[in-house]
Amino acid sequence: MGKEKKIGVIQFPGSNCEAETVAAINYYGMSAVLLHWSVSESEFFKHDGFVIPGGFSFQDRIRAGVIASRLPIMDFIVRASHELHPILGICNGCQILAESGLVPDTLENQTIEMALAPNQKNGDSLGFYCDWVFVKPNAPHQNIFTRLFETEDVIPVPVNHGEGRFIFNSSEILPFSSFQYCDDEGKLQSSFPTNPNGSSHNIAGIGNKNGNVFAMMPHPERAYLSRQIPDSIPGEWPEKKATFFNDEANAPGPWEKLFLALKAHER
Amino acid sequence: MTLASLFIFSYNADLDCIAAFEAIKQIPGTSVITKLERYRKITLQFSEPLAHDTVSAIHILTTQSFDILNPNKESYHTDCIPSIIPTYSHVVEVAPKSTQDDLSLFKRICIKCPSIGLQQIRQSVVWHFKCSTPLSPADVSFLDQNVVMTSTRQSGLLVNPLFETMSHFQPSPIPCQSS
Repeated sequence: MGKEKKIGVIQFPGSNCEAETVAAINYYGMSAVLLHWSVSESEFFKHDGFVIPGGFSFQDRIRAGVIASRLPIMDFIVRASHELHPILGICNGCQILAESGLVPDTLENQTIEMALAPNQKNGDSLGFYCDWVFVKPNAPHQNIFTRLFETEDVIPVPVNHGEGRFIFNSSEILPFSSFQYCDDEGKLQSSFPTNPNGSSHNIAGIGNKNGNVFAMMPHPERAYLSRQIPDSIPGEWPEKKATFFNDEANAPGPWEKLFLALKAHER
Repeated sequence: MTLASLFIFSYNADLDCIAAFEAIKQIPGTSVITKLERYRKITLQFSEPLAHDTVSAIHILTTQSFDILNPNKESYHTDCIPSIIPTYSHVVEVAPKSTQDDLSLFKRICIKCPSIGLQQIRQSVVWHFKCSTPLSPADVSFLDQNVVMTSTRQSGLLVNPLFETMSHFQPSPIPCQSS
């Protein structure tokens, strides 16, 4: 039996999803440690992988994620990315990774190639949006975090952001692992509410060229247990939840594969 | 067509500006910047003939609607920024490429202030760098590349060119009016 995987959950001033992120990682048999944004380099690299959780780092000043992306700890994250450590950014963490140029990083030089712009609803200004949506994986086997998913999977997940509209400097969809917003039957529709923020190509999350970094706007840590699924959403999960409730209140949720993939990864 | 520009500033500490300046100070070669100011610029276009003179129209706009500014916390200059010092100041205007926010603001204001004949509205942010020495064209180019236009994590901060545009702001020759 291998040693327990240590995952650093990086806490910036204004992060607010670190507790549930730690809980999700621990639930799936890894050991999550909260890392302060001013952590030392030696302490930082005691960990096998890293998660940047959601929140409002530095109160979203200037643009969401941009101030955090300039901190010295991001030099460690860049080094960790080069050393192929798994790195996941969720919501504000996704915005920080985008502002750092770590995703999609097609040129492998951290040029800013994508942005998370303010949400739009069918071309109109939308503002902050919070609801459950569905996503499906695209090219899942290319990235550490998505490799246990199949392209047929349709996964419910909450979104909770004001600046989550993916924009790319290329009009072509990138060949890297991604999640795309879809309806509960897995059909891609570019209109609201299937695409809740007007993202290009319905992108909800995307990985990097090397397959070790993944940035996603929806919150998998809020759907890691089946009991987190609301009864109101369509699809199989409310029924699964009801079944699980009879047997086990803390049964795994729809994002089990993401966390198990992180746990199983050997660098 | 009559245009008026409001440069809205905070009475109190502008936390966006403080955060930006602290981040900019970490960029090598920026010690020449002694102060950073931030203004929200609202460009108003009125239809002609004018229902009111522009001063009255702006007064109606800012007193009958909190959509433009919060008068408890903010004030404005009209058509210019008085603190600009030629050659010592570098001023850039940052606007979103999408005009959807402008349209929704325009619709809200037209409901609250139907009498002022507003035809169009455009929002942007103006950043004013005050520098300790006169700026050469090379200095301006350095600031644009290393502080303003974001291209990598180490280069640029204030503008994300994927969804924002940047232009150099030309001070108006008209004397300033403040609220």
